[in-house]
Amino acid sequence: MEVFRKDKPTNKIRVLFVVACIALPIINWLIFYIFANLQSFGMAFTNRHGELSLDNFVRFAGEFSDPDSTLPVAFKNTFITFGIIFVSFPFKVLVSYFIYKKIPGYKFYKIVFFVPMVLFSLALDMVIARLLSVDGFIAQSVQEWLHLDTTPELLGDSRYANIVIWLHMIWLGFPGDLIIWGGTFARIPEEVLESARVDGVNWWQEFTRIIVPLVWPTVTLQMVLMLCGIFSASGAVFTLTRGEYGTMTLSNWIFMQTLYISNNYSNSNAFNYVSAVGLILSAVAIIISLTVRRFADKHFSEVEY
Amino acid sequence: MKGLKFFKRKSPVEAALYLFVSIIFMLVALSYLYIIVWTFIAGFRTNQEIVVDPFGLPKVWNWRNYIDVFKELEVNGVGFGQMLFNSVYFSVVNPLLGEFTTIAFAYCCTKYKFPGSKWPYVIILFMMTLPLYGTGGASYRIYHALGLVDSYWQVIASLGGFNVKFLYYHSFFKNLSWSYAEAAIMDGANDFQIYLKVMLPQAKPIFWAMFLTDWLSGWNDYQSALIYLRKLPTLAVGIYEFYTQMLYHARFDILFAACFIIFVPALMLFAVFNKTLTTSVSVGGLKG
Repeated sequence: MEVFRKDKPTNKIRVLFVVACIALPIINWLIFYIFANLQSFGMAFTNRHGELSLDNFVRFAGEFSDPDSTLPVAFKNTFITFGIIFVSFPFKVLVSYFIYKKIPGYKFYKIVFFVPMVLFSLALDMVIARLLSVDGFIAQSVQEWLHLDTTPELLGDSRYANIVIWLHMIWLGFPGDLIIWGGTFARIPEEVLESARVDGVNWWQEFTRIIVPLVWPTVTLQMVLMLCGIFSASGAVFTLTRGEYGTMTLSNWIFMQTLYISNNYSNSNAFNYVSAVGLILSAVAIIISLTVRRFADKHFSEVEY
Repeated sequence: MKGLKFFKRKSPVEAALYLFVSIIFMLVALSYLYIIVWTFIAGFRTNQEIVVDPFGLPKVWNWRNYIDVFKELEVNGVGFGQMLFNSVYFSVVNPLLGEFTTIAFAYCCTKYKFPGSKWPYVIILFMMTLPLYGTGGASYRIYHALGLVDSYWQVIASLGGFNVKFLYYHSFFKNLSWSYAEAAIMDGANDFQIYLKVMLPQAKPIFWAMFLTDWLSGWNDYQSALIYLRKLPTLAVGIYEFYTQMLYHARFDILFAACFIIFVPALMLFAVFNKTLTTSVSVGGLKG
C-alpha cells in the first residue's frame, strides 16, 4: 500500500492519480445522493405553493386514517408481502443448499433458475397476464374449483388479484439469491463436512449443526437488509395490475406517484407530498435499521464480499 | 444413471426428501422454460388466436410478426429500431462508465492511504442499511435542472462509485498483492501506468462480471426508463406504451414477438457467460 506521509516529498503524479480516481465518484455522490436526499427532506416540509408548512404531513395523517384511501391498503399489502418474503426466506436458502449438495440435475437448475432474473420483467408479466386471462385454462380451472358461474378475471378482481400477485412472487422468487448463497455455500471447507460424515452425522444434523452455524453471518446480513427494506416489499404490482383492485403497495405507490408527476411535469412542488410520505417511511425504517443493526453488528464484520 | 446412483447412496428418508425436492425443482424449472417457449410461439400466432386460446399452437407459423415488429411497434413517432438503439446505448454506456469510475475509486481507496481513504467503505456499508424512500421526486428535479431528462447525456449520472460494487472491487484489490506494483515501480512506472497496465488487467474477470450484471439490469430496467426516458424511449418504454395503447387496438401478436426479441439478447448473453456471472461475484461469510 502506498502511503501519503508528511515526512515524504509529495509525488505530484500520485496526487493527480488519487484525485483523478476519487473526484468523479465524490462529486456524483454529493449531487445525486447527498443533495438529492437533502432536497427531498426540504420538499417534505414544503406545500404545493412552495411555502414552508406541515401540510403534507397533515394530508398523510388524513389519508392514513381514511379506510377508503389507497395508503392504508398499501400499508396492509406491504406488510403481508413482507411477511411472505420473510417466511419464504429459509426455503430460498434451501434451494441453494440442495444445488450445493449436487441434487440430480443441479447444473441444469443452476442455469434455469436464473431465468426470472434474466428475463425482462415487464415483458414477462405481460405474457403472464395473458396466460391468466379469462380465455386461458388457469382462470377456467379456478372457475371449476370454486364452482363459479363466470370465469374469474384473476388480475381484474379484488378477490383474486392480491393472491395472484403473491403466488407470482413466490413462483418467480423461488430460486432466491443463487449468487449470494451459491458463493456462501461454496466457501464451506469440504474437510469439515467430510469429517462430520466420518463421525456419522445424518443430513439433518449436517444442515442444522454444521452448515447453518457456519453461514449464520450471511443469514444475519440478509435478514438485516430485508428488515431495513421492509417498506420496499412488493410483488409485480405495477406490471400486473398498476396497483388497482386493492393490490397497491407502498413502494409501488411511491413509484406510480413519481411516474405520474414526472410524466406531467409542470410544477416542481408536485413531488412534495411523495417526499413527505417517503420521509415518514424512512424515519420508521431507520429506527428499525438501527435497532436491528445493534443486535447484528458483530455479524456484519464477518461478511465477505 | 448418475441420478439413480445419487439416490442409492442416500438413506431412505434422505432419498425420499431429495426425490421430493427434485420433482419440485423440475416443475419450477419447466414452468420457467415454458414461459420462454410460449412467448416464442405466440410471436408466430395471429392476434385472434392469442386472444381466443392463449395456450394453443399457431395454425400457420407466421414469421412475418417478427419482421412487422420493426414497422408496427411505434410509439410517439419513434420506431422499434430507434428504441433498440436507445436500449443498447443506455444499457452498455451506463454500466461501462459506472464500472470504470467505481473500480478506480475502489482501487485508490484500497491501495493508497490518504485522509478519508477508509470512509467510502464505511459510508457504503451504512448506505446499504439506511433505507430512504420517496427521493425519486428530488432526483427528478436534479435531472431536470441538469438537462438530463430525455437526454443521451444522462449517462454522466452513472459516473459514481458509492455503490455495492465498490465493496466487491475493494475485496478484490485488498487480496491482490502490492508486489506487482512494486516491481513496476522498480521499472520506472508511475501510478497511472501501474493502475492501467498492471492492476486493472488483473481485475478483468470481476470487471466483466460486474459489467454483465449491470448490463442485464440496465437492459431489463423499465422503472427509471419510464420516468427519465419517456421521449427517448428504450424498448421498455416502447413496450409499455404499446401495451397501454392496446386498450383501444389489441395487437398481441406484435407485442409478444417484441417481447421475445427483448428476451433473446439477455438469454444469449446469460447462456454464454453464465459461469462468469455466477462464480466471479459472490458475497457471504463463514463463522471462523
